[in-house]
Amino acid sequence: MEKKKKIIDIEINKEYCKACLFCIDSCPKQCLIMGTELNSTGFTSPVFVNQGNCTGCAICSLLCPDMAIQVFEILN
Amino acid sequence: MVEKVLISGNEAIGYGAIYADCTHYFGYPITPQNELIEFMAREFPKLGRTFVQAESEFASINMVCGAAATGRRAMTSTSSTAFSLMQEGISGIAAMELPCLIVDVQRGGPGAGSTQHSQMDYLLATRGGHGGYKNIVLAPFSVQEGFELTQLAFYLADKYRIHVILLSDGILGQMYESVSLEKHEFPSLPEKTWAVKGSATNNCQRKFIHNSPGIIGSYYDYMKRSKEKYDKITENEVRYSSYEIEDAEIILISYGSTARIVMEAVQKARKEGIKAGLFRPVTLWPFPREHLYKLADKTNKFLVVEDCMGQMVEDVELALQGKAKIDLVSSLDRNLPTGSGMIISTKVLEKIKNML
Amino acid sequence: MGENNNSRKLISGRPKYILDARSPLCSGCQHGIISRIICDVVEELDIADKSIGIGGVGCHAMCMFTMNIDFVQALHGRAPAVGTGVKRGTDGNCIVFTIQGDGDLAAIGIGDLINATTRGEKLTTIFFNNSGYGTTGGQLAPTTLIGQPTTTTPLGRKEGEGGFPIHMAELMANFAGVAYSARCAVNTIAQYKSAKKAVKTAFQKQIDGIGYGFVEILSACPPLLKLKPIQARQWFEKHMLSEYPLGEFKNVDELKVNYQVV
Repeated sequence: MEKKKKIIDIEINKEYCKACLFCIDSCPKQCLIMGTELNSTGFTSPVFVNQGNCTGCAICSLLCPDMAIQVFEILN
Repeated sequence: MVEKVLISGNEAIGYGAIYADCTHYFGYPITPQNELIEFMAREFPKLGRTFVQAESEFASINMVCGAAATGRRAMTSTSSTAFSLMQEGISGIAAMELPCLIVDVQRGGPGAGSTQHSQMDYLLATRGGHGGYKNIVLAPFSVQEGFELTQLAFYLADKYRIHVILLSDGILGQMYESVSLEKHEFPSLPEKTWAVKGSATNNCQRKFIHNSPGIIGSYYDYMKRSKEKYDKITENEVRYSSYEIEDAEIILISYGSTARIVMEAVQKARKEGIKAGLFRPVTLWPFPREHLYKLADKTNKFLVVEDCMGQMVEDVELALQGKAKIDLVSSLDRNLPTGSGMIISTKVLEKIKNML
Repeated sequence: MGENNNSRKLISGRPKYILDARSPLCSGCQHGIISRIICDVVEELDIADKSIGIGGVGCHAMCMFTMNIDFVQALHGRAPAVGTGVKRGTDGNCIVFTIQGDGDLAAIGIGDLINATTRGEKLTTIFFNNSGYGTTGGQLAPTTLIGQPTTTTPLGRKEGEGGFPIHMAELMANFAGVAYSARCAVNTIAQYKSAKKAVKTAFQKQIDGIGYGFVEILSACPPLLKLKPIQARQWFEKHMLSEYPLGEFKNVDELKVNYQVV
């Protein structure tokens, strides 16, 4: 039987993000791209795309120097 | 029955620390205070207290900082050249407002100077390192007083959350006198709720003791708080001693072991009918300015006797505000040109006579 | 911080012991990742409420402002001495760790660090090595690579003139008082996981009363290198890892006494 694929949601704290691009660069499934909206200190922040490809590996969250990324598994 | 012992000045400070319930000593060997560090090495472990020989004086002062930050009574001891090394650490302790005791058993300076007594650290002790903070400075003149002032030092340190310097010297440190070992009782002190012991002790609210008052929080608040503290200490904690001062026509001002020489000179002068008296500051900071100023109503002849090239004389000049003439007996008046030279009473008596 | 509720479960978020505020560090500074590791380790070992950190002077010290753990600030280089005072002051009941950078640990503070191990202190030190002095504007550090330009070696560090990069993790492994010494990085997820394991091991050596735990964690400093964060990471992969090998250099469960006078 096929293992049920996890459905992941990612929340990015736009105010904490400093647009270092580590998450975008590290994501093995290209689920993050840079957004265009500026925060109060002039940084843009990533946007979660390709949700279907995300495996919830949380590399983006762990390697974020500003701890701005939360990764959730959507249940049922 | 109070126990009486024959001990050295250095050891008396160790006894004082034990009786004051000091629990942590961190130090490094340096002449002429090695008797103190060795006493601590022997006695502290016996009492279950902590003794650490550090690798340098800047290490030992920073260890004192760490232990004081956890609320313990901590101290170190050193001498002149290494007291200089400690200044950054003391400045840090001042920024953190940590109570502790630093003992400086003065030797000759500058540089490595000599290994024997001097009184050449007066300005360093009373003015301190960078940042313009104040140190409480206590200056014993006998082995007994060293024992007592050590206990007082810990009380004042905890009372005001300030570091205290005990300024001794090589003669005082090495001489042996009889001491009554009596524990002094002091008024109760508040609990050190500011101390760092792991956030579990504070409902998991963390504490952060920092040494950057100008970077974290309000610089203004730190400076205002410091000023209020120093004003309170100046108002309440000045200590001095007078000898034959009531009818004195010439007042000698001296502290520490040199004051004993001056006492002898005063006694000799009195025998010759000269009305000399001794004013001995016990707190070098806060300096007994007001008391000295009042003494200028009695006479306008003041003689400062100190074993350096003139340091306390500056504070005396400030205190007297030009009301009197001030002369000086300095290290240039020592009886020998070597490091062992001392200011002796015959020289002081000679100067007294010259002034009259 | 997000919560678990019926519809979703948190897989990874802000560590429990990070204060809720924007990090004061530069964009792309990997010190933030190191502070996450420390926070997660103290949580997993359940020692956060009896841990006391000692911060030095440098960018690593920013972690003092971001972690919800008791901290005492030390003067430059003196963290192991202050840590000794704190450890002794708490009668050994608290877990005391120091966080130090290139100058703090390998320049001005190297004597205090080595002597802490000589004295047999059971502390844990996390060494943030980013091959330069970030806080003061990007000067030469003992860890700067040969040929690496800094503001005080504008033509690149030259051996014999500016000296040689110091290898702290290998050096620390030589001292009898050290129970654990390792070097790690946080550039990739694999490196991150090794770094976390190393930090946990280093803390465990203190918890078990074995000896000094030392972990050197390499990171890239974008402003020092005058590169954007991603390019700084690439520079790091190419150069830092060529100079500083990753790995464990010492891991013992008992300190060895060479000889004893009887």
